[in-house]
Amino acid sequence: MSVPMSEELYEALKGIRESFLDDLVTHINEMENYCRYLDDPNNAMTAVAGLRGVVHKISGIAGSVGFPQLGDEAGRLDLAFGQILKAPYDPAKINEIRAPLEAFLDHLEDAFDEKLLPSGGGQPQT
Amino acid sequence: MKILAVDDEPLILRLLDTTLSGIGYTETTFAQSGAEALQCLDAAEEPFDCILLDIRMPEMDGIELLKQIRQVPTYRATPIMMLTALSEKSYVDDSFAHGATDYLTKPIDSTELRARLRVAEMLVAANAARRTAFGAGQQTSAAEPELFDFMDAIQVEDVPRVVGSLAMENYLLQLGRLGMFKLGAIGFQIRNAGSLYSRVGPDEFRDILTDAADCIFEGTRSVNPLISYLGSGCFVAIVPRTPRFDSEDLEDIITTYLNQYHPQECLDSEKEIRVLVGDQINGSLFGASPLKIIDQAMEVVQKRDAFVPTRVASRMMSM
Repeated sequence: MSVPMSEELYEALKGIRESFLDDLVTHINEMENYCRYLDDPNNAMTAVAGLRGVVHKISGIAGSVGFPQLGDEAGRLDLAFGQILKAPYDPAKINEIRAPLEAFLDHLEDAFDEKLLPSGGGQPQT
Repeated sequence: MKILAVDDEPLILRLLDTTLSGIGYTETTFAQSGAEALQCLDAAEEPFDCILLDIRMPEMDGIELLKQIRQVPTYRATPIMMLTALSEKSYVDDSFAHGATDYLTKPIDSTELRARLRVAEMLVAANAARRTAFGAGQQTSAAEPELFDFMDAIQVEDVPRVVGSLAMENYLLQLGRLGMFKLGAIGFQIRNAGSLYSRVGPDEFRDILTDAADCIFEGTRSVNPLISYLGSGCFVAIVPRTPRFDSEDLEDIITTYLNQYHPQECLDSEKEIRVLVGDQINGSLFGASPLKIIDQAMEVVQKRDAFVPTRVASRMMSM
């Protein structure tokens, strides 16, 4: 349930949603860059920490700007990366996360593509 | 209500600005780091009424910032709400154990935020009213008034993992929201608390509460409890369901610790301090008010009160 939204509030949230979508390109690039190091035993944990930082940012805001599913996925990845970081380096654990991570990256790209559509996709939610 | 909101993510601060304004809170200051937040607190001419903190931030995280804010006398009783995407129990526990009043998970829901801020406003008003009622209005830096009624659930200070009664309620509500329903609760009752309060007065009774809280913490610290003072000499500790505490063993341990603070031979029998321990209640928050588990724990210990003289007498005879 949400508070009824005034025109002014709606416009402000729309602006935040636009900024979120603009930032997605940076987030996708950052994540793809980190993914390149997941196979490197010397850098994999640093890459996981970097990935966690990015998904954490997304999980905090996606749901509020009309992308609740992205927010949920990011939240689950945040938890999973946290578990990996609590234990010593384990390539098997990192491999387990690859499929959901790939799926998440696809969904981020889909969300960004929506920005390019005239309808603009989902609505901001508060 | 004057609010300080702290989050390292500029988009979240923009979102908060929009949301808070939309629900009628227009006096908000924003900070992007722990250091900036502390500067804002220092520089404020009038103290903030409420603080919203993100947890995961670079350099100083929200829990470290929370600890530092609680060290400032002006902010010892200020409502502080954690506003975070983190939903693991360890973060919820750490936040409340270090002084959070409430915990709200992102994404930000304006209805939920408004409801929680209303509760915070009520707390601010209640604190101000109590300061006025007990004539401590001048002591703006004091977290608690000098005086209090026996039944008041005052904040017991400086004991690890002891939280205010509102924070305890919010903690249980938050665990319920996160689906963490299974918990244990233990009730504690200072024997003859009412007559003790009348005899020694509020100042000394506050010291007794602090000592009792410290001993309860020491007796249960192995399981990282969350403890709250409920007023009238009653405490509750929220603990994991296992391992299950044996109430008599725990009472003995607490008595031993208490004897270090108050050697019983130095006290007349009327001033003897003893904390009764109820059996651990293993309950579920599922489908029930979070207060129910507290009520059950207190019911158990209060029933025991009637049998105390016999139990105490028999234990003393066996010593």
